Amino acid sequence: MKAIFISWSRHALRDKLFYALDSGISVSATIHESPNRADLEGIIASIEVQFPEEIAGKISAAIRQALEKFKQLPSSTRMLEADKETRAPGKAAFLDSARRLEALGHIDKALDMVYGHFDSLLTAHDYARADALLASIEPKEFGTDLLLGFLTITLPAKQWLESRAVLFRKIEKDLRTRKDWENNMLAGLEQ
Amino acid sequence: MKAHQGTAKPFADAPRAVVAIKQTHPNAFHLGIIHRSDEDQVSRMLHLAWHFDLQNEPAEPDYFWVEPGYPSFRARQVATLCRLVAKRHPQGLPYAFSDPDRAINPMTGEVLLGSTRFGFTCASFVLAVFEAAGLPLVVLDSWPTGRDGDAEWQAFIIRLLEQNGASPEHIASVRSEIGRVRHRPTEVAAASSIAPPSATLGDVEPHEKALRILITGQEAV
Repeated sequence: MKAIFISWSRHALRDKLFYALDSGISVSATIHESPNRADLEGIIASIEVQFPEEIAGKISAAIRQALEKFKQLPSSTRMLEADKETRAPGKAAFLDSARRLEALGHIDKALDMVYGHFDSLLTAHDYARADALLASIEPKEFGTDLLLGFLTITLPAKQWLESRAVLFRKIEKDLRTRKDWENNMLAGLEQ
Repeated sequence: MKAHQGTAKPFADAPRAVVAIKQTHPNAFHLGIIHRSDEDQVSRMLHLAWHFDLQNEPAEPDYFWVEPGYPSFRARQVATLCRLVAKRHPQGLPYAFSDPDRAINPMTGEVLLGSTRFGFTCASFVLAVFEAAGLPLVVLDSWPTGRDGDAEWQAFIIRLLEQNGASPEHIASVRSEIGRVRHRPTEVAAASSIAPPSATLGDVEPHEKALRILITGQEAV
């Protein structure tokens, strides 16, 4: 049962959704390579806010159904599949999803996603991947709330995350140029 | 220090996470964190109600919420952490007198209970959540041990644990913590109007007195 597939590229997923919308074909979804629930939830959330409720509901249901099938796979298979996305170049899909949610005004949902994603990484003691994520964050691409979120959730693990100190300095420099800068905004989050 | 009862100034007017407190008995108070997400706009109160009874329900309007000293942006992070902690601990958390420092891992919402850390009071739970969010409300070691009433209160709690089915092992653990510092609910609530930086007991006392008068109409005896 490895023939599970989801159009994991967000652009492809979007194309597929429009196709479904135009053709009236009911949509099914299968999961191909990532069991990362945080990313999957992010995509579902994005769909739910970007598309008409009727279509989004179908897509979400199909994805959740696929996820359930994926979870039924032998754990050894899941583990083999799990790292494919990790090895993909570029930023994690969840950062893109969080940024998109934030842009749509769903800041709390975006924060929940960020916390949830780091939750899964740290529970797995995957400090290397967490550090790589921090290193990939460009402060100008995110709003103030998400930047503070990155620093808050990584605070207790700072000794294992070499990139956090650099990110803190970049964030501080960027936030000081913003009109919503407040004194004490970064208190207690220092490296 | 400013505080408002939910009946007079709704929680929806508060920052996204505030410390809230009410009087439960003539000389007893209970507190928690009222937090809100834009997704459903419901003001919920995360609080350790009792042994393995962590609640995250819509806030009751008779609570007083304290205008915080921390920036509003940080309140949103505390609210996010509250949601994570509530999600991670549907089974609740144990009640004990352990110190609250470094007790909750903000990355996981996991409560780091071990051989020297047995649980929280309602007040130390609030301290632990804020510390995990990078906002330690108090300078822990500025609180003395053995203040008037502390030993009696701790003995009272142990009796309640015994009467309400806590395990003998847990009760023995809690007994070993008799004499630990007690951060009182009114003190923690008052500290939230000051931090950051973390407040000492000396910083807190005048605010605590004002808060107590506001809530009870009476000065401490």
